[in-house]
Amino acid sequence: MTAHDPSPAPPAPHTGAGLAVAVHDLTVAYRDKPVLWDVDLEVPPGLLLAVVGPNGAGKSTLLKAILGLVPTAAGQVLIHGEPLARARDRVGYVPQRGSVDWDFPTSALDVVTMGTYRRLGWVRRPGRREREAALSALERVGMAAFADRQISQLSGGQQQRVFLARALVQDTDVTFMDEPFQGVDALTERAIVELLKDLRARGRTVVVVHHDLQTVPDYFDWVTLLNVRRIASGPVAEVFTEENLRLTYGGRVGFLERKADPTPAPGGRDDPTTSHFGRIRP
Amino acid sequence: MSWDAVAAFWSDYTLRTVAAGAAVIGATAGVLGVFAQLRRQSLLGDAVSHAALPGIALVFLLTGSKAPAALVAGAAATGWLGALCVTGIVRSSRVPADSALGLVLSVFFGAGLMLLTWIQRRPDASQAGLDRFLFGQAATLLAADVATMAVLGGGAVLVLVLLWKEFKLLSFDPAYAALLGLPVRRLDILLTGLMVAAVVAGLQAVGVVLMSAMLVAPAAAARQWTDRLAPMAALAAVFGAAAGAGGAVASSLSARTPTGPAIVLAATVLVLVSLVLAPRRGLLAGVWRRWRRRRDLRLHAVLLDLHALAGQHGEPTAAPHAAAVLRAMAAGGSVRRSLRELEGRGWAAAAGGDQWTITAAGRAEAGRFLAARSAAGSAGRTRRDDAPGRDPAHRRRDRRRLRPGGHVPGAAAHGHDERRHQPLDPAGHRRGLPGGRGPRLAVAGPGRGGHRRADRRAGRGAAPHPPGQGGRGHRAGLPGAVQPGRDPAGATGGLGPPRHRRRAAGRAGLRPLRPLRPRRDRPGPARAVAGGRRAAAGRRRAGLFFKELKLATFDAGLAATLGFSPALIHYGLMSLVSVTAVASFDAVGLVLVVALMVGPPAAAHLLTDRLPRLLGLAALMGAASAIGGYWLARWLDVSIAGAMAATVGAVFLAALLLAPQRGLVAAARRRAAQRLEFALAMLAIHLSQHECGPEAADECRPDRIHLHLHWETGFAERVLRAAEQRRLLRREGGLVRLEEAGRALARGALTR
Repeated sequence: MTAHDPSPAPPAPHTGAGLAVAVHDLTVAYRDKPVLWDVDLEVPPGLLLAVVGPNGAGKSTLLKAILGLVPTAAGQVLIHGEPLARARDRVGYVPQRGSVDWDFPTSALDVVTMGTYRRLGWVRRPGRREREAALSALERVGMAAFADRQISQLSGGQQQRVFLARALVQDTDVTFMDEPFQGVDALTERAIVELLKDLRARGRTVVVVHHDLQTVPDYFDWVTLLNVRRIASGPVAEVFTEENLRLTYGGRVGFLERKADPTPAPGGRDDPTTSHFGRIRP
Repeated sequence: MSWDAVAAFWSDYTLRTVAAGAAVIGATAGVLGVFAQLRRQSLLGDAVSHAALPGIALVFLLTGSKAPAALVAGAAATGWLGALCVTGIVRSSRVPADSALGLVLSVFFGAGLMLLTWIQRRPDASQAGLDRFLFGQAATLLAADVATMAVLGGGAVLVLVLLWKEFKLLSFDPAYAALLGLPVRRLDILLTGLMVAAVVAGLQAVGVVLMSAMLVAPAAAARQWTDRLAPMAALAAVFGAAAGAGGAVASSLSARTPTGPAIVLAATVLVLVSLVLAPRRGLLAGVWRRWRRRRDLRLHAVLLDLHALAGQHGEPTAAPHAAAVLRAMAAGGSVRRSLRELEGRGWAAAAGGDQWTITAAGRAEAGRFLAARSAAGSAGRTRRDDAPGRDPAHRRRDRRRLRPGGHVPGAAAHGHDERRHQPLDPAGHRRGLPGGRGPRLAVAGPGRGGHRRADRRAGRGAAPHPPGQGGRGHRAGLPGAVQPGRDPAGATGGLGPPRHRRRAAGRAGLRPLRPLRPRRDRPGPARAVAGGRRAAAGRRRAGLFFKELKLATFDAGLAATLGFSPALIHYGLMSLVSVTAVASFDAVGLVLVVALMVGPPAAAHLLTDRLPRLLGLAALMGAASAIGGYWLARWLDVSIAGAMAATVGAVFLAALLLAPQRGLVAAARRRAAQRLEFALAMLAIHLSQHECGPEAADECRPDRIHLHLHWETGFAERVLRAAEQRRLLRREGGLVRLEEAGRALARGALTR
């Protein structure tokens, strides 16, 4: 960070002006293990960014830290130039599929309607307008036919698409997705990719934690390589090099031979407890 | 109930009041129980209600008042404290939630018992009636009490309804609720507070021991009937109210039935009925569904066989085939019955002499079935609308059931059906599926007795099918029966026998579990001795099966793979537990059993990681707290059970605070040290990145460092001083400069 603002006011260089997401010096530790060290990240608006790295690299944690879901030890996050507290209306989140109780007595439509809760404010209930918005979001992910189904009676891919629809209904400028492609069928994967491109066409920014290195150049514009520290970040064409990948994955990866990062069993999560024991490869 | 009885009911003031009060309690607890259940906190209500007892006793001890409002306030205070203890223990230690619940429940309850017995020893008789809070005494309810309950419960439900959507989101997906900016922590506390209110409202009528049932039962019953939250809550309210009123009326009919237990019994009946009869989640519905699915599979297997036979002979509607042939092909079930049912559906027709043909409708059905299968196979899970999330397990089970037949069309109908389109070898219908062989055989081995059954069937099937030399061996599913050299399945299938042997070994190893049954023929020693012997025997057995126990508690899946039966070990453990429970039950009561079973192991687990040491420590601490509690009770002349439970609590608390590694004190000290280490590293990194640039004038000013690193001013100053002491940096000309040691630290931290 060489751009320096000489004014004596609090650190000014990181205004995040013109950036969809600006992360500065972000450090997160679970107990004594650093999970993210001093991470900087700048994401210009209107593009699809993949966050890539080995298991335990802190990808999910990066998302959660940006969204204020885990406490940070240090650092600063700006969404479109504003701190999160003032930008909550502009961020959406698609969590990992394993993070909720699927036997909860609620329907797909109900879950999607939750995306409107913030707009509704306290006490007020979702009415017909919210229902219609939720239905049209379900339609966009091809799930309208399942609106009334209890959520445990959906397949994994369908569940993922319900989460996506919930983020769509929020209609935010920036959306964060935690491994939306994990354990989904080909049909859902295509649907998600279409959706990502559609969001980009409308000027939205999407940050996706991604596992399949091979599809990165096809699906994304920018990529961030992460392994506790940020290894590299920028347009795929410039940054997604074998050299950088080796730095990220610890030199044992010939990316061209490897199909995908050895993912944990489907449903395996990157939550605080597992990350705490997360292996950080040398 | 006749009209007279109804009239009598309405004219009976006491009964009316009691029933109304019980209904209010039931409805409130039902609604809040729904959220408790969905957040997996039902048992928290249990802890809360038991923890209310010491509060009641304390209020009386301190104020001498028996005014309901004061007692309820005391109950709410300690109930709340109990809930906080549970969440605190879970959050700050490795003690799992259920242990924490059991521990808090029994320790608080034990302390309450101690206080109650202490009060009862006092000379004046003013304490009379306090013990009604134990099991409740609904008959003493007055209209004013009911009004208090209605206000308390109604208020709780009103708040719940107002914040319905927030609480719903909180229960379903707390992370998302946080993202939307909801104050998750505060909502969480509020919801727990509402639950405490509901519990406390019911204490006088139902008592601390039974109140939690009112939280759990209506919600559990309601969940069976609906898949939506709002109907579930409404239904739980109705169930709760019905159980309350019904229990009250029932207890009025018989003079000796106390109200509290009657209410809980009524709620239990509702749960049982719901468990059995509910339309979709009920047991009967499940049995019916399984039966239908099995019948469909059976029918389609035979239908597909007929279809294949017809196709193979190349006739539009095939010549009739003998039922015996179909029987030879079938995987199981009565073929003749299936054929008759197929006939009933118009898919097959009898041609006399036990010969059968497939009809046009049957062919259409078979085609539709096959098409649906292959579509499902190619499009993955999503295309199958009828494949709900939970179903794969069922399907797997069904498939396994058919597997033993390995290669007979029953299995073919299950996913490998595309291959059924291949022309079959005229010599044998089980031929011609070479690709499918390997994986199927592989599963046939571990499948229940696959070999033996397939064997037998081969013997049976061979007779009606003379040409099948190849077919016969193949159908037998025995590795190496056909082309032993080339059979790709030989290797996998060959696993079978050793697996069986291993299993048998596992079983044999577990046989000594049998003498677990308490022996009644022992020459009558004193009870305590018998108890001690039984407990000792339990321990001895735990020693005998140490390895198995360890494995089963650690990883049930692995244990199963290795040939131990986790279910068997589990039940062994359960019976160990029950023997122990019986041995000590009559001596010290139920509460103490829970405390002694949960407390010492939980405390020991804070002190060590190794299983043998853990068992030893737990036994030691259990004995120590039992003896200590006994002396305490003697000394104070209070309830022995209560004193022992309280001692267990004290021992656990000591372990929680002072354990050398995991204790809260040690953890706090470690965290402070780590925070400093961490801050030093961050400071070093920060300085090393900025000290050479033009921005150093700002980034390295000691009075501005806290701004850059987002620290508190005081903390930044402390870190700087610590860094100076360790010679990581020096102050120079109003700026901070890194020393070589600091630079090394930064490098080390970055390359870690």
